[in-house]
Amino acid sequence: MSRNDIDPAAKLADDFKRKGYFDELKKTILSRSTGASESSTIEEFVRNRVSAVVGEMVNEDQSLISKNRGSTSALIEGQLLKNGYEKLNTIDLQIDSFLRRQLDDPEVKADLRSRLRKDLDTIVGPEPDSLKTRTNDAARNRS
Amino acid sequence: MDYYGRGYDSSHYRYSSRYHNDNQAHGNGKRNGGGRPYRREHGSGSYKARSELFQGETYYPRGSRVSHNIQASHPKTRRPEPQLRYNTSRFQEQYHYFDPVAKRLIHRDEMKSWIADSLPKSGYVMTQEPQAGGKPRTVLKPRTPEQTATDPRSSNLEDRSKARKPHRKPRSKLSRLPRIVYDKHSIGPPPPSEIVVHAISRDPKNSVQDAIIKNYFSTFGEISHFESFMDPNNALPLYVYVMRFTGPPGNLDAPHRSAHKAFKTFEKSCYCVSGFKFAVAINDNNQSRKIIDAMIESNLKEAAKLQEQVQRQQKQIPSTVGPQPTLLPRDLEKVVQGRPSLFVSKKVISIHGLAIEDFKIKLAKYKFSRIVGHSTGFYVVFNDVSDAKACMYVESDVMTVNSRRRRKPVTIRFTLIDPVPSLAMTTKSEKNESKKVGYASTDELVNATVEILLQDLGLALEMDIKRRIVGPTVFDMLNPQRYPEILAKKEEEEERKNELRRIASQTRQEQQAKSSAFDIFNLYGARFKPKGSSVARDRKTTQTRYSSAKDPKLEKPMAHLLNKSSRSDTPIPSDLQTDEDEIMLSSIENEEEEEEEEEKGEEEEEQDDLSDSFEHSEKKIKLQSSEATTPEPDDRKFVLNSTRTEELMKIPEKYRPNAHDKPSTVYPPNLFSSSGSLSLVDIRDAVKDEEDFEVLKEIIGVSSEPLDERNKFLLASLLFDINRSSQENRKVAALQDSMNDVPFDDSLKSATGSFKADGFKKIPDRLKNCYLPHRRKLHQPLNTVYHHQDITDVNVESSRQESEKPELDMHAPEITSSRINRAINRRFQQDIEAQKAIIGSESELLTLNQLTKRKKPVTFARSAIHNWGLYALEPIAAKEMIIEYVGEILRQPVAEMRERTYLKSGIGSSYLFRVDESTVIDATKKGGIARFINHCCEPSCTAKIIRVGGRKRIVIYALRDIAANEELTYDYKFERETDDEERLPCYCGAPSCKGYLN
Repeated sequence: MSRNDIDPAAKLADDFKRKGYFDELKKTILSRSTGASESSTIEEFVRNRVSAVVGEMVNEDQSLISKNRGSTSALIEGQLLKNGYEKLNTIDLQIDSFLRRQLDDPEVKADLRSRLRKDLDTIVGPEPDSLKTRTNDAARNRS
Repeated sequence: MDYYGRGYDSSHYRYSSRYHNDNQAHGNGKRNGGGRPYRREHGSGSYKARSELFQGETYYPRGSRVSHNIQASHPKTRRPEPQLRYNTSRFQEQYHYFDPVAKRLIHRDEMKSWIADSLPKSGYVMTQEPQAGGKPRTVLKPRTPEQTATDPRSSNLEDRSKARKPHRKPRSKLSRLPRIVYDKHSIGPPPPSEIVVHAISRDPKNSVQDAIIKNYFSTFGEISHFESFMDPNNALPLYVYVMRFTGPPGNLDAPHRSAHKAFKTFEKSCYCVSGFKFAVAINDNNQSRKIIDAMIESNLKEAAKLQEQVQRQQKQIPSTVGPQPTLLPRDLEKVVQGRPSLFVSKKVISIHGLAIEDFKIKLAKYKFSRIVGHSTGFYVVFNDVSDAKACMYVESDVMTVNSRRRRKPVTIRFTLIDPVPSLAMTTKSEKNESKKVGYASTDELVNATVEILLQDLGLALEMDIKRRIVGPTVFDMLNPQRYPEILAKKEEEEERKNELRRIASQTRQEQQAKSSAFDIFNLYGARFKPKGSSVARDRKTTQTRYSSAKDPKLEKPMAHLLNKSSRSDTPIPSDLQTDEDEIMLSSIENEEEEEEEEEKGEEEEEQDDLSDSFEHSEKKIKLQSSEATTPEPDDRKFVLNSTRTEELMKIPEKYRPNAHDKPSTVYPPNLFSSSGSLSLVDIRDAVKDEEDFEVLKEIIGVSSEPLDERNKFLLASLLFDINRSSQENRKVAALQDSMNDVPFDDSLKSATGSFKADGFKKIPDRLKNCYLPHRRKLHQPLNTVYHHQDITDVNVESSRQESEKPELDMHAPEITSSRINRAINRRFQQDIEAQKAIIGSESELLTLNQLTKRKKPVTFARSAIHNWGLYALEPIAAKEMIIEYVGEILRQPVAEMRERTYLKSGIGSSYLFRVDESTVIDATKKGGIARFINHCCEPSCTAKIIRVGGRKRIVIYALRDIAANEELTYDYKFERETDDEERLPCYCGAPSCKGYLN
């Protein structure tokens, strides 16, 4: 009774992911230029910010290095990610809003749609009935 | 019967008749039962009158046969008429003082009045009068008939206030009669000796075994009969027990007593065992029967009730299951989701305060999905109908849950609620279905998919940033290598710290080194103060007794050590030499004695002076003794010729001189005992002839005067007394000598004549040999070893070991060769090893001390050398191992401390034995009897330190052949002590004794 069975959309999304398009999309978004600063991609930006912030923290409290590295890094990580990357954000660039902007980008959406439609034609096209019967069976089984 | 009756009668009347006779003045008529003749005369008359009266009173009708025959029937109802028969011998005996015919006392003329001048007229009483000392005296007191007697208590009544209160309290209630002990003289049934023990409350899960009850009650007395009862209907135990007590055959009361004791013990409380409570009662009047019957009846009733209940339940079950279709409350429909559930009513739950957890535990074996609490009750929700049904059929009305309010289990009734596809469920599924169908066009589908994907993408991005970017970066950034300046600083710090640490450790080491130089006993407080020189001295003293550890001989292999003779160590006594010396000495002494005797023998005559001058004169004699010498003829060694022989022959034979190197006395020398004062008798005995007497007279300087009669008598009696006492003294002294070999030391004699009056004083060890039995006869085997019938504790161990191996018993006692003995022991040990292998576990029981197997039978007893000694019970050959010195193994510092504490607490004799520099064996508190071995300068044994199984042991070996009952000794080898105060005197008594242990 997974979501896929109930919702053909979910199934479609799953198929989409399986084909690797999803990861591809992710990568493109991450490697997209932030535009605001010199550093080209958002990934790099985050990385730089993190190292800068952590360096500051270490300089403030030198004992951080001598402590258990694993647990200390986890704690710092938690701090950095809090409240929508509060510590990492700069005045020029807010990571959170940037990502949202990327997702809401109509270009991306259009791209997605076209791809999905292509997928749907290849998968759903030939055998739409079988798909339906299967779902019905699943529904019956439940009761 | 008749005879006795008459006899009695006659004697009875005899007294009265005498009385009658004596008091003629009193009228005969007054005394109806008076003299016999009189009675005889009037007998018939009175009888007649009486018979008339009798007739009047009788109930018999006149005409009856009985009434006519009333005379004949009289002997049965009346006492027979008394008759006297004077001529019988019996009569003669009885009337020896009174002639009934003449009516007078036969001895009247010889009788006298008791009244005399010395006795009070009114008569007297004899009373016992207490005397100051000893028995009460019998006192004669005149009677005072004119005084009226008074109650002595009345005087007490008058002045009650003054009188002391009586000891006893007035009784407020009746006191209990004492129980009369049942014994062989008792009549009637014996007191009950049985008790009934019956359960008041029982634990349904437990049972009690009869043996437990029996064993417990047998503590009150011996049980002769024990019976436990069963329910005849179901053969289950009723837990009713009847016990009859018994006792020793002579004691008839013992059974009852023990029964009573058992009853009394549990009169107020119950006897509790494993959840059961028992009441105990005396079993009289068939008490046990009653109890058992009552129990059986109650059991029957209970069974009937149960049966009824079961029947009712069987009827009810189908009805309850069928027509009670409880509906699931609306608000639970979502939770239950149309699944089947079992319902438990709220009533039961609220009354007993049950919780969901109780049910969860109880129903753990069923496949329920959850238990839901609701205002109406609990719902046990199952996923499957069959599970729910199975659970219900099995558990409904059967399952019990312990109530939380009342202390009893509650049976739970379940009601099945059939699964009903709930409305919510249907609507939901419908919705889902519609959604599924919802994507009418592919556009919609794609849009929805895009939405989903974008949502997912957002999440994925966030995740990515978190996991892939931020995480590793932070981790990287925390790498200390990234901060060289900080690292450098740190290193610097570290170095500094290291430096500090190093310095600290150094200082600590120094401190330790310092503290180790101190006495370890610093740690234990101020009492153990370090005291440089004294410590050293202490150490030396402790070492004194420990045998030298670094004996080079001990480095040799054990086998060599065991058999090596160290005879050379011990000096050989030079008996011959000493003997000769002694002879020489004694001869010299003899001569001296002889001279002395002659000197002392001169006096005798001062008997006249009597006791007063007697002692005085003795003293004088002693003072003079050095000067006064026997007049000896100078011409002893003249050459014999005829004239001389003639001359010689003139001299009486007794005094005739003889030719000899040394001058000899005429009389055999009288050896006065060196100890004690010289008595008059001694002096008298010393005077042998006129010559002696003359000399004595001369010495004392008294002229003999004739004595008068009285003085002569006094003198004779005095002499007799002195003679006797001297004889007594001599006897005592001889006894003392024969027993102790040593004369009783005068300094031990009490000055006051009473040892008790002297108080306590310390007697030096040196003097103890004149009275302590175990101190006498140093070099003869002592008889202080007592053999009892049973084996002494010394032998217990060995005998036990022998009993473990019976086949060895046959030869064990005869074994003389230690070699054979050892071979046997080795075999025995192999046996043990084999057994150990079979058992397969390391057991302490089987570990064998090889040394104990080779031990010789020895025991301890009082010793002549010091307090206790160790003695051989059997002859021991030279070089044989005798015993191991067993004790606590201590380290050196502990040993030192112990020695000090022992000295403090007055344990003077040290039982510490040094093994090596760091080890000491302490047998003071825990140890074997080897510790009793005394020191001797000429020892019979030696101590060796050998290794057994990697451990150093001290073992005592025989140096020479040792006889049975001989004391075992070894040389303590104490170090020489320079301080005289510290030196320990040696009483070993050996010829070569050094006099001191150290």
